Amino acid sequence: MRIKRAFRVWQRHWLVYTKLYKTSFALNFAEPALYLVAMGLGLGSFVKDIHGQPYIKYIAPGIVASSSVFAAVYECTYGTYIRMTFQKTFDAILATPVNLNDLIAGELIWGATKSVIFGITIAIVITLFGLVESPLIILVIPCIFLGGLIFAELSIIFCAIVPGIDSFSYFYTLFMTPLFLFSGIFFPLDSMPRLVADIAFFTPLYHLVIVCRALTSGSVASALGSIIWLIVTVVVLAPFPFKLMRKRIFV
Amino acid sequence: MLQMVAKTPQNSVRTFDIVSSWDGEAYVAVISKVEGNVLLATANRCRVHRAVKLAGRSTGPGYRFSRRNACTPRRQHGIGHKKSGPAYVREQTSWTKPRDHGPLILHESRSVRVENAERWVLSPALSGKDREPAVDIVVARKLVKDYNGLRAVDGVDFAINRGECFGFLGPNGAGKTTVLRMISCFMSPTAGSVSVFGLETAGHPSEIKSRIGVMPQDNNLDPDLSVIENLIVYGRYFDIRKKDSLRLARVLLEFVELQDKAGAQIDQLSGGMKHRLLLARSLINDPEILILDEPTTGLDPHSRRAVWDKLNHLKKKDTTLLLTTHYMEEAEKLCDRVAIMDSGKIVTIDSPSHLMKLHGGNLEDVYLKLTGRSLAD
Repeated sequence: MRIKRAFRVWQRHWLVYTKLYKTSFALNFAEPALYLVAMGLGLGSFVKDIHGQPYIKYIAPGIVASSSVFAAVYECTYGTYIRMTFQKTFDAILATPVNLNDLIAGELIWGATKSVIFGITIAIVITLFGLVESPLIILVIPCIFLGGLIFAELSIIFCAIVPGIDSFSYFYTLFMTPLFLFSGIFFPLDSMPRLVADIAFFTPLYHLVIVCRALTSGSVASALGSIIWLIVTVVVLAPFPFKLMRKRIFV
Repeated sequence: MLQMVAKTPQNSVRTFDIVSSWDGEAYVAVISKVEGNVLLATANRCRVHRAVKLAGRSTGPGYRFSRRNACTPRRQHGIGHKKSGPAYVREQTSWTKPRDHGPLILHESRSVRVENAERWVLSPALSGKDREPAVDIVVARKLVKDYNGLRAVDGVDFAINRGECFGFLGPNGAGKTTVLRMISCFMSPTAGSVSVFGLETAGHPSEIKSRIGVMPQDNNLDPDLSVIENLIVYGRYFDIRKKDSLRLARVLLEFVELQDKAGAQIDQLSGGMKHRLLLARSLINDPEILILDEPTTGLDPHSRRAVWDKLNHLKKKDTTLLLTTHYMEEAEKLCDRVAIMDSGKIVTIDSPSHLMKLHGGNLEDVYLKLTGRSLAD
């Protein structure tokens, strides 16, 4: 893998994104803002403070985390799959000096980049809502990149093994939705049976939420363990997207 | 024999039109169109990057050899007899590896600017034939490919000469496309080997792919990009800088007569236009070998002729063409030699004219005769 050739793939995606962002960029703001208003203000008016924070303030960092990883997941499931099969963009790229490993690395880094773009956007939104206490929130950017990378890896692994595009429903319903609900975004897991928190410890979104929450309120120390967890997971998962895609594309 | 015929004064700048360029071990050679001679620009300071890039087939006009990024002269290469010595192309990047073959043809309009050359060495003019000994540019040995439990290619051997147009003919499923995909490093052989430019495809995919062009059977243009963006983005995969690729893209669009469609979206193009754009895209890196999988399938007679014209033009430029086709007329018109394949094996390799003489009738009769068994089965 050559990072420069992976960057060529990234550049292609960036060009396409910057051509189309005007039509989709507003939506980046819309969805998290809706969640904040509906859950934070609507539901929040019936909910007592959590860990001494008003409900809207409690969920805001979690919305940053979840929206950012969903951006990577959409990109590296549907986006990657369409480029690989229907558009045959992979075939075209693989006829150039860019090899499969470069291409997959480009997809992964682009997925993580999408996470960062969404993460920053929403971080700005919650800052405007006055829900951020600490300038340390700037440090979530590299953490979101790590989180995005993990979800890009998982998505591409799934992409490499699915028989068809319809199968992505399984990924969303059985994997992403539970993560979205049980990663401590909307309620602390200590109110749930112990088992839920134990399982959550092994899922990436849980840790990204911890990191975002810690940095939003200005404590680096409580984020450290989860940052290390994210880094280790990025590394552990790394070989699989490459191996499985090679198996799928080079029959 | 090389002889020194001229010395340039200090700080001189000369501009030459390039017909060919070539990097040997220790110098960059430029064949001047003007003088019809081989000119070894042994500039004592040349911009290594650009100089090598030029030889490394990156395209674009106006390469300058300048003082910036100058390389240190090295003397152990024998050419340096002066104190300052000639330029030495350092083997620092992957581009600088000495090439195992002769000159390459660049577009005639391109020129090179050489600054501060230490000396010019001119050799007697070489004619096109002498310049390039006939070499096998693609060699397959006992090539086998198993594919979904089937043997798609079953032990084929062939050698393709530089500059020839070589066609693979055969019924659907005969293994033609699979062979092309192995040559273009898209598949690895189950057994046997293919070498391109003397390099094994297994170990050098990027090096090989940087010097070939592939025109696929199916349209795989990037629908998210406009016509010209398709070319520029594609050029970027070959590390062609935007400034160069933009100019190159315009030249190529003119070549395939799509200059009016530069800003169009891909889905606004007709089938024939998409084909021509695919052809243009496959030429963005000025390939030495162009691989075409059924280049005219599904085209109307006008578009087909247009593609033939372009391919003939490329043949004159000494580009090696490898193609598959179901049109015997096409094979007869374009191909110097054809391999007729059936069930993963090569039945025969010969020139169309010799095949027709041998078996009688036109090429289609020969084809049907040689592959007829499978129709009867």
